[in-house]
Amino acid sequence: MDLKTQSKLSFRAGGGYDRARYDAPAESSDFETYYAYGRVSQETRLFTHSLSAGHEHQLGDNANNLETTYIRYAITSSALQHWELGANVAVLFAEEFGGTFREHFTYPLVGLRAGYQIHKYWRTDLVYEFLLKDSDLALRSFYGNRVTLGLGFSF
Amino acid sequence: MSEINTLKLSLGVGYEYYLKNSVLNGDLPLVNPDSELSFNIFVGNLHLRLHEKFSYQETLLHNSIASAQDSFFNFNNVGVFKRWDNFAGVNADWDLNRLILSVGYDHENFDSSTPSYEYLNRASEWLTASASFLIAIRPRSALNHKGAGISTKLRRHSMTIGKCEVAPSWT
Repeated sequence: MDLKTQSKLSFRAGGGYDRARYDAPAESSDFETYYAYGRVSQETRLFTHSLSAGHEHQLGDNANNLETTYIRYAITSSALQHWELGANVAVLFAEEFGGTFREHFTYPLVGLRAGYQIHKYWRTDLVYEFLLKDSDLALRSFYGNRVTLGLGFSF
Repeated sequence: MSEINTLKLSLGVGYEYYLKNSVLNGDLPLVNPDSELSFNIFVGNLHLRLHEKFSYQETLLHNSIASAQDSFFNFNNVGVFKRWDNFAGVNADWDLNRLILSVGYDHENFDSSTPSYEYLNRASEWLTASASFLIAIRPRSALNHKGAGISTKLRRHSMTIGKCEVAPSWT
């Protein structure tokens, strides 16, 4: 469901029921549960920001299922001419399961980005991200600092 | 093309350099997942959108400059996962005033250039269908308390309800 008000507040929410059955089920692969997400965002003269949270299932990389619960905040601003500035913070709680592999992990992520419109068609972006993965399994925790410089063309 | 029928190209290119683990540095520039060539065609109240979306990535993170992404490939003891991803398809929106019906079809090719992850190579067919119904709500729209000299501010709210989307796929 989407709801938008004249004050530039918007709400989006959804949910449902998830059921997975595997034709060659490994241990604990099948599941029945719910999924739900919600997002509230606001546009102001100087910035746009949003807060979202959800619970969902995806296919795993090491096991059949990846279940995540997340909360995320993001803000962007185009108040400065030619610039787009942004930041985001997120925390995800995840469990990968189905088969012999099972892992619980948490990962907070912080990102900062600055985009500059060089020309009518050209844009450049500088992004910094910090990611920390904290796993309950040995040798599977890590952290990373990442700086990305991008160049974009669009017409 | 014309005022309403448009061809759009968005191409994002980047390079990632590892300061501590320079052995992971790649030789090729990366193509952002937001890169896309699209062609918009309007026929009456029907909007057709043909698109080709492509990317080449090497890190375990799902890169996207335009929006915050916080998922990654949960591999162990791996720093580089070279992969191509390509979506090609068409979307159609039929605007019936308050009711908008949408259908879409995409063909995806995911191809790993890292030999140990070739098992993830796949071709997928994506079918989507959705219906949106727009409702405008005017709470207390004509409410004026003349006696007290208060004029209630008219507020318009628009609500989209009954929007559902299904996306079955097979590989």
